[in-house]
Amino acid sequence: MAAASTSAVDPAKKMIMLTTSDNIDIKVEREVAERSILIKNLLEDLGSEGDEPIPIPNVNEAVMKKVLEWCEQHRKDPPATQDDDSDSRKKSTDIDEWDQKFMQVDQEMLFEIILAANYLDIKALLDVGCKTVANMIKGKSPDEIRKTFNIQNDFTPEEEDQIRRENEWAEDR
Amino acid sequence: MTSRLGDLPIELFLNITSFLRHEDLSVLVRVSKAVHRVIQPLIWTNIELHPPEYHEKYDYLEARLEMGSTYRAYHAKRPGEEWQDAFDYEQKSRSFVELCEYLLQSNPARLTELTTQVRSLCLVVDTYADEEPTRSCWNIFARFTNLESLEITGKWSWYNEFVAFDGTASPLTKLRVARIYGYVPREFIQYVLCSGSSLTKLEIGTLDAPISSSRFGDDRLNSPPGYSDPYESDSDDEAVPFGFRAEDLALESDEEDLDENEVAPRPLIWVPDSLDQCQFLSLTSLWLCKPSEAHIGHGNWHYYTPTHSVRSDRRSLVDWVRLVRAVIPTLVNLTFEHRLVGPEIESESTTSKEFIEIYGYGPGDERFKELVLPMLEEEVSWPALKRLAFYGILVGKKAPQGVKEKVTNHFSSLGVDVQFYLGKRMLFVPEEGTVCISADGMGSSSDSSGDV
Repeated sequence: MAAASTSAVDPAKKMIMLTTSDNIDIKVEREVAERSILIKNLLEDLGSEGDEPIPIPNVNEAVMKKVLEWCEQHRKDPPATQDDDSDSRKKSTDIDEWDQKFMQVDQEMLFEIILAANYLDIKALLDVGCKTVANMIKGKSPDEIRKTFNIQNDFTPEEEDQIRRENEWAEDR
Repeated sequence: MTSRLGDLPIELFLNITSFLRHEDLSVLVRVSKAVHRVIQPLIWTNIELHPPEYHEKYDYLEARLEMGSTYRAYHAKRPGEEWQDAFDYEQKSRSFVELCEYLLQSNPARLTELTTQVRSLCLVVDTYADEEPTRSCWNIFARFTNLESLEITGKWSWYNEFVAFDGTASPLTKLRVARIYGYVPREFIQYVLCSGSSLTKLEIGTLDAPISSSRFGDDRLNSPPGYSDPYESDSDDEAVPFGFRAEDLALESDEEDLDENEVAPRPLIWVPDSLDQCQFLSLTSLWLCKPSEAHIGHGNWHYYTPTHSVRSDRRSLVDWVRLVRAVIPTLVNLTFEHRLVGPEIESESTTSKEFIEIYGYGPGDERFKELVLPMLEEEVSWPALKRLAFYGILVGKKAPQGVKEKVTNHFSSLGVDVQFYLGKRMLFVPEEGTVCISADGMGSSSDSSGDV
């Protein structure tokens, strides 16, 4: 009879509350929020039923909503494998269609998502963000890269030429 | 003005660059000083100039498993790219070596700044250069003073001269792994051996200057230092033919006539007379490789058989024994590899495996039996040895019963794992005397396998 008192609600579907840096409370299903390893660990450590709001002081509402949108879409993804492949330069920059659309945001938001994914420890989202930036670098000339990311060229023409010559062997031909 | 990319924490910036290929990095590095500081080491720390998956394809699988795989900073494959045509990648090696040579002359201080960043280096040294007849390509390597792993395959050039290798350069004191194959000057190998105290893994399979067919002889051009001109030395009693000294010749009573017919690639004689300077303290893996003379009995090659330099071959084997004896205390893995020599045209009628099955166990094996096996079987103490492997030695359909078994039994009783593999053949161009320009620089194509 005691057992009967157990809540019928699937714990994964249980709602928890997050408080963003701009003091907005966001309600979200536990399973969705747990795409973030940070939140998952917090929930486990607190051992609470998730009744109290969890403060996320590094992420504002707009970014948090965007991140949770991604988590919702990827809620059933298998957890990230831990074999951190050091042979990173083999990694593909392919991004699936939904993620590509998701990442069609202004640069400000793109970098906020990357920072948030890093802080919240959502490896797959971090990788999607980093791949998106990598794809913005690929195939561009140094000048185009500077323009895209608003980077000041502080080389003299001679210095830049020297660096070009020194690394020419690694270029594609 | 701020840049979101520029303001990113370094680990996130590195995460982004991990999705970039070398060619993208080589452009990104030019963007700004701050970016340069981060990207330059990514390009220069680990340099692997073979095509992607090259080593996975060409290195012996079982040896790789045994020795553990090493991280290789391959330049990424372009989408849909077949790298069977390795030319593009050799072009990368060529540009790299030429840059270093250029800086060695024009700005040695800058060269040092760059080369001291490099921890591992794997490349093909193509000694041929059209516009630079005199190359100093071997001297650049002494500048890589922080190098931990050096893997080189030297390609032959008839057309270039070399600035002699400066043997007085300080040794590479951090070098742990050295794999040297192909046409590489003796002085350079001996220089690498001076890093003996830090070396843990040494693989050497190098070739002496090719001797072109007598039909081709008059076209033969200069020989780089480190290789003696076969004609000159043959005709001059004072000179030392093929790097031999007079006393070495006493090993062989027969005069050797390499001025006729086609001459098979000869092993380079590279073990120094005295191993005292090498001070091997931690060498655990030793891999020795050379060409070997095939069995030419029945079903032989159509119109000729290449001449082998018996002197070079015997001297190599004697040197192998000397070297092994010097490193026995630390030796864990010991491998002897013979590459059975055949003419290029063989690739049209046999696979590497068939070739070794048919022509295996020739005079090269007999010499190995005579000069190396006694050492293996008599040396009572192998304090650290765990694995002994033979490639292309004592194998093939003609291999007599009992020889392999005797070696295996002897070492099994010492707790050493012994394996015999068919190995790979070495195809060469009879007219020129050089190994075929195949991907591994030692005349072996990827159809070769390490079959037992």
